[in-house]
Amino acid sequence: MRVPFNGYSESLVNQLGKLNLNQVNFQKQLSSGQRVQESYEDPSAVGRALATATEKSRIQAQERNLNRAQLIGEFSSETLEQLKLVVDKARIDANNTDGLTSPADYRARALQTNQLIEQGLRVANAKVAGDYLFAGANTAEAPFAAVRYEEGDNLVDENGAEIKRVQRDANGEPLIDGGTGEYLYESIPVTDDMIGMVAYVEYTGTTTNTNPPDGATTADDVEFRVGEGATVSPFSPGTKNEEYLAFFNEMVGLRDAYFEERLEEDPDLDPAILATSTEPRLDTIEDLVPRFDDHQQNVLLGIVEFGALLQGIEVTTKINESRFNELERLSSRELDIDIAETIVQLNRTQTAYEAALNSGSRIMGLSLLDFIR
Amino acid sequence: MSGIFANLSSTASSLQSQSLAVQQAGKNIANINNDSYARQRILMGTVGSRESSTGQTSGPLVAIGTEHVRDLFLDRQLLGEISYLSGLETQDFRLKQALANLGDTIDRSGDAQFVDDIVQSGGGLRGAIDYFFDTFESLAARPNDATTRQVMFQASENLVDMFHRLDQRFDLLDNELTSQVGEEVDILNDLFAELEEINLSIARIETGNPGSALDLRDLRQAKLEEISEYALVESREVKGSDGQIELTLPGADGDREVVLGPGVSAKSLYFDEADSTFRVSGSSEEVDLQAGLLPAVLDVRDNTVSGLQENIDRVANSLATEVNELYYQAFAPAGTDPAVPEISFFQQPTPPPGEGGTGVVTASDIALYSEPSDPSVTDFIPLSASSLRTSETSVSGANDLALEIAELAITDQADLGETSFSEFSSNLVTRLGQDIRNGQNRITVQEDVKELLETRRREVSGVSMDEEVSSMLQYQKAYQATSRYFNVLSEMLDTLINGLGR
Repeated sequence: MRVPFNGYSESLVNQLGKLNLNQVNFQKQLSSGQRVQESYEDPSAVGRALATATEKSRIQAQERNLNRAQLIGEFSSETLEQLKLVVDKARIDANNTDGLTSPADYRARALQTNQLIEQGLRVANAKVAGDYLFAGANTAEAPFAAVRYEEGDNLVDENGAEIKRVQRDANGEPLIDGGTGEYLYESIPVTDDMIGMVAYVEYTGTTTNTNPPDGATTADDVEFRVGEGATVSPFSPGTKNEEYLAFFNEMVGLRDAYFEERLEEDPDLDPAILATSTEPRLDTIEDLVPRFDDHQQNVLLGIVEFGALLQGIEVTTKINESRFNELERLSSRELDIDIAETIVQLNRTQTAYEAALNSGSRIMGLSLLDFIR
Repeated sequence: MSGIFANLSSTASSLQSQSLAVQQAGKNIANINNDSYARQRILMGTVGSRESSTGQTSGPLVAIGTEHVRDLFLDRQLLGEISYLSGLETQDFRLKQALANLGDTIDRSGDAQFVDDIVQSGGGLRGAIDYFFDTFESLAARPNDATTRQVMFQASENLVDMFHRLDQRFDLLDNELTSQVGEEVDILNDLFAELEEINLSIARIETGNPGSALDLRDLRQAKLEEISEYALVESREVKGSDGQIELTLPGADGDREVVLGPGVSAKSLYFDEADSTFRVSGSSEEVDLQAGLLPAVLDVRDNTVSGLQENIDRVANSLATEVNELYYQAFAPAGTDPAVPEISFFQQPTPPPGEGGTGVVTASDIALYSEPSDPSVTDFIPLSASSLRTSETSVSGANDLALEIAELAITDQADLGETSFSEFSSNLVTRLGQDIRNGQNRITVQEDVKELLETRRREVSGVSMDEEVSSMLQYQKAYQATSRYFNVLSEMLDTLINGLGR
């Protein structure tokens, strides 16, 4: 085989080029920490890594939703704790009527109850990050709107309908309609004390449709997607909010019963006649007391439900973190280098490069010309 | 007496031949680094013989010619391999450019390491689509939050902008490739003209002296190799034409189109943009260049780039259609109960096909909804951060619509071959990456084949320093010896003329 003069150099240059390219690649890998820089270096690994990146990004978005759901859940739970204090106080007061002996006692209790109503409303209209917590889906509007008495108003019930009382003659005897045999009723004008007080409370939020006809998500049911196939409804459901509404209106009823000193049903009135009446009448304190037990239970149940929600969120957070870390590990396995292995490869290539340079310069430096005179 | 003179003459001829051989060795050494040079060797031999008293005596040593050490088979084979390699390398470069245009870089330094890191999911179309749907997911959890709405709106603008930029980049690449084809065709035509010039020069020199234009033949081979980088040409020496070659290109019909040759002036290749074909001037037949830079550029333009553009358009259309199908609210004029304005997310298709619309969106014209679809629509709400709808209802915190749109991120689309938007966009990157990798594997093989042939050719035609120096010494010694013989003859003659006459 003939070995032409430039055969050495061509072969050496080719070899040096290949070794140099390898050195550059290994150096690039070491400086970036990545085994793959471009998709053509390992298309299938890059394909998997891109899919992983998309999934990681989705988990991050869902995790942010989860954080928000947690915030809403924690605030809601704390708010219900505060509401429970109001309910507890109202319940204790309603059960403790022994001290109510004079009109002044009743009035003082009525004013105290009114304070609880105002306090409870402020608590229940709590917001977090601009959203009302107990409004169902209608989170931009305060859910518990108080309608207040003005001068000249009569007492009303929770629907705004006037409450009546049995008319009495000058002797205090109840008046009966001769034709129907029923009592005659009259409206109850509000006292000066009551002007500006809450007449009744309206709920402006949405109610949860827990069983929508087509199985679809409805506007009433605010859900956040917080993980792979996982959703949570962090806001207090509308049906629950309506129970809180009932509590407020019965607090108003209790206050009005204190004002009217209606501890129990008037013994002068015939229950049989009263039973036929359709006129809305003011509840007695005795009637209202057992209902506050229910309200206390409702609020407690609400707190428990948020506790369960927060527990679920905690579990989902762990699942999300675990999935994210697993995906990150997969990405790393696909794209990252094994530093020790890469350094060894770089050293090996460097050694080969130096050997090629050394042997090349030795061979190319000599020819027959060096030995003839 | 006549014998001495004859010997003197023979010796002079021998000296001349040795001298020529030394000169040739010097020339070979001078061209030692000239890749296109094929070594030459002086052929020597005796010419004629005569009857003498001792029998037949051979004639003087003369240089009877110069051998051009070339392997024509290797030369011809190399032309093809150069074509294939050049085409693959061009394709590799352009495909990498297309890949860079897609913008989906592999950069782990920007990756989120923890679930609560705030990092966007990469660049490129896939990243923009992911970001779009992720912000919709966030909007579902914060429908009233002004910042989230602004971020969502910006993500939508970013997505639209990404489609536009991709379209522009690929349009630019398409135009650049078209320009490149035109410019490279011009260069190739110049090379044809130069080759013709060399061909004619060879013919002039070799008229009556076949095979003598050795350096020009080297130059012609170099020129042919240069031409081969552009297209797969075939050359053959035409007998009886004083060393001229005929250069042909493969025709689409299987015949070969002559580009130049004896009696055929160099023709021009031209590119017909209308049907993306090449033709040779004076012929209506299409030529199929098969390999080399020109068909490679055209292949990237007509297959890869246009394929990518088509796929990006598909993503744009599918995405705009699917989002609008959910988001669109048809206009109901005043007097209708209820009267509602037209609402849409993307400008087209508004109304979407599900509502009777027929619009098709491309990456170049995708836009956010800003004006009514029809002049009859007198009330509309352009898309903005504040007008973004998250629900079909008017309930402020409802998020049913936002959830449904966010759900599209993981929904397989029939228009995209039952893949999600992200998967389809990722596939564009990985498929192109696979094409490049396949091409690189072929380049490696092709380089090996070319290197093998070049090495073989260097072995045959390359200059060896040791061989040439050794030849030079050999001819120098022969020259010295012949000179010595000449001296002896001269002295003999001197003795004969001056010594014997006294």
